[in-house]
Amino acid sequence: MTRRDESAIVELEDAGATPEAVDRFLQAHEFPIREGPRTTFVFRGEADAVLLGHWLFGAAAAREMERLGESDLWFLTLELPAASRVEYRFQRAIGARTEWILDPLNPRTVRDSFGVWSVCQGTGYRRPRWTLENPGVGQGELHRVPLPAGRGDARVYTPVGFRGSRPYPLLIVLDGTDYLRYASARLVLDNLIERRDIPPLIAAFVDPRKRILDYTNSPAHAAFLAEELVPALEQRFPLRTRADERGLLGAGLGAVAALTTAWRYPGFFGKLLLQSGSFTFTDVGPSNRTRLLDPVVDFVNAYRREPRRVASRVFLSCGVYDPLIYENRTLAPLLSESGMEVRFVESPDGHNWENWRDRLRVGLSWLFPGPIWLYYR
Amino acid sequence: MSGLRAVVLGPQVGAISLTGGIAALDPPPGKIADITVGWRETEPVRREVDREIEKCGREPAPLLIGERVGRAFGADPELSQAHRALQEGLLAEERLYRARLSLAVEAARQISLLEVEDHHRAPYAAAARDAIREADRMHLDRHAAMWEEFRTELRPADRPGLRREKEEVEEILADAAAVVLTGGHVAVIRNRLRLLELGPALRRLPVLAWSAGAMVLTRQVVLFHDRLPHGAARPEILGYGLSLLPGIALFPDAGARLDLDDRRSLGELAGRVAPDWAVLLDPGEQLHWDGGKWTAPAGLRTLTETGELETLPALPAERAA
Repeated sequence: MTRRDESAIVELEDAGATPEAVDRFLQAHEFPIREGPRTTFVFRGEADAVLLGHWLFGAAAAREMERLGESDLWFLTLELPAASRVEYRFQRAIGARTEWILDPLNPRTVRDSFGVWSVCQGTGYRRPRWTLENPGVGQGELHRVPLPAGRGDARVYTPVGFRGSRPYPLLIVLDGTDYLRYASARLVLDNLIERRDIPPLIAAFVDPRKRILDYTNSPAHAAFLAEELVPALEQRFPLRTRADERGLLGAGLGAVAALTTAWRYPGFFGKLLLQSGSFTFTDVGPSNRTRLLDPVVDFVNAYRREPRRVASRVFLSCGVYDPLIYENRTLAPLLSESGMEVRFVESPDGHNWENWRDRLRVGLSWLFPGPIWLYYR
Repeated sequence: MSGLRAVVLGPQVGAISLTGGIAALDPPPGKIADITVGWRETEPVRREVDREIEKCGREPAPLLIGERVGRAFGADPELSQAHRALQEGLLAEERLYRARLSLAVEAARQISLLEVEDHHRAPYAAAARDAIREADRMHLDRHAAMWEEFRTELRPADRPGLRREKEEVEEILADAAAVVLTGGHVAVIRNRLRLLELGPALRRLPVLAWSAGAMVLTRQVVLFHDRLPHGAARPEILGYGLSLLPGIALFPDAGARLDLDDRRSLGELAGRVAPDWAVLLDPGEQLHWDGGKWTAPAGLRTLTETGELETLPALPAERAA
């Protein structure tokens, strides 16, 4: 936590944080307050304590906020790197009662499968243009395709200008519905193809039946992807059949599922895009994760003992505010050592869909380079 | 008439503007043929090119190369399949070339970074440069050999479907006073022109070309981009061009695509295309070829082998290797 003499909050304190002064202060600023590299989170209301929570799967990484004098204003100043993006909530405690709430002073929110979050965009963060709707960009189509073995439907993206006579690379997206809903995946593919950052490709968005089982090094799920899904898609769509033209994309446990599937079928999926993977391991100490993750721990421990080349290229990304950053930083050199071409990108963001969305361009364009390289306007 | 054989324009950003280029070329009276295959041969874009020609008081004669080749492939599945197989083969060669090139380029970079005295470094740096050029040369040769094998076995321009289209195109060109060749997808333009074997027909006409369209008319096509979403890519030789514009290798949109502060890489690039001159081209710029030498209204911006940017009033057609 830092407090600097020239900050707005210190000025308020120096001027005396009377209720009227606090009113004026709230009217005069947008929240959180961004002052150069410093960001000040502010909460006003009755409370015995207030924490700033930045979450990962329900385990709060919470930081205590400070009350300003005798007022009902709470604040916390953090130095955030340029272009940072943080999703957060406040935890307010009144007596024995605590509650997690959105930041009432910040209208920017984001929704994911765990609910709604307030969003703080640090100085310099801009939502990339290629994640936004652009009326000039042609839209691909999403087709519902029934999956084998009672696994529901996949949604299969075919690019604008799709031709049945031409073979396309294949990208299988795990947690497909969430990627479509929270990471704007369809829009992103449309835009990246239009910009020639990636080639026209076919993407299959698939969901797990039971995530904690399917995505934790499940042989059955890996077999489903490699032995049932890919052949079924090849029957129905014109797909390139070289491993280098076939990729897996997943985030969190989805990234674990992508890597373990490639490990079970080495050389079958040539490209892996692993975002904030839950690559928990215990060979340097006990894990505090749930027992349900034991199969992941066993896999990562084994992989650390004996790294193996399972694909040709792996793109790994993780937010620096993501509690999984250590695990991902540890995995990256192991993947390289095994002989795979690896690129690891850290972003000033957390474990969330918009971070994963914002990294899709660099990841996909490295794994599947588009014709921009061949295009001279 | 200006007596120019070719005018090369910089990249067309936003709206296409050809009037200045056509005025400089000043072709004899007659229609101006246009080849838009790399620029997305869709109606609105094609019309944009035609309108620019019309603005100069000339009648456009669209060659519709993309449509023609598509039609020929539709009528001749054997040719279409063989062409697809050729492309797959070329892609495989590219992957092998890239693997070799990446190590050669990296070796040159490492050697340049070591803190050693220059008299120690020099022979190793020269050997590293030779390794890069040898990788380029082998790729060029392999690429040319594969095309030649395809041409010899399939004789594409003698097959009825493609022959008909080629004859129609040549008839239009025979009537034309000049030809406009757009920028766009450099491999698509080169492959279509080569498939129709249009080099000789184009050679006799004044040409206005920009970016990719001009690159395919040079001796060798170099792919480059230092600002891809995932970072810089190593420059690669795509293959031979049609060799209608002698003595230069073109780097269009250099300001946007090249890291002009990276002198070592720029010098390496200039060396790889030698004895051709590495010529940079940005929006609004023009190059003129009068059949004997290259000039430019604002001077020609070239790269030296030491990575300097040099502006010259004119280039000779050829220079010693």
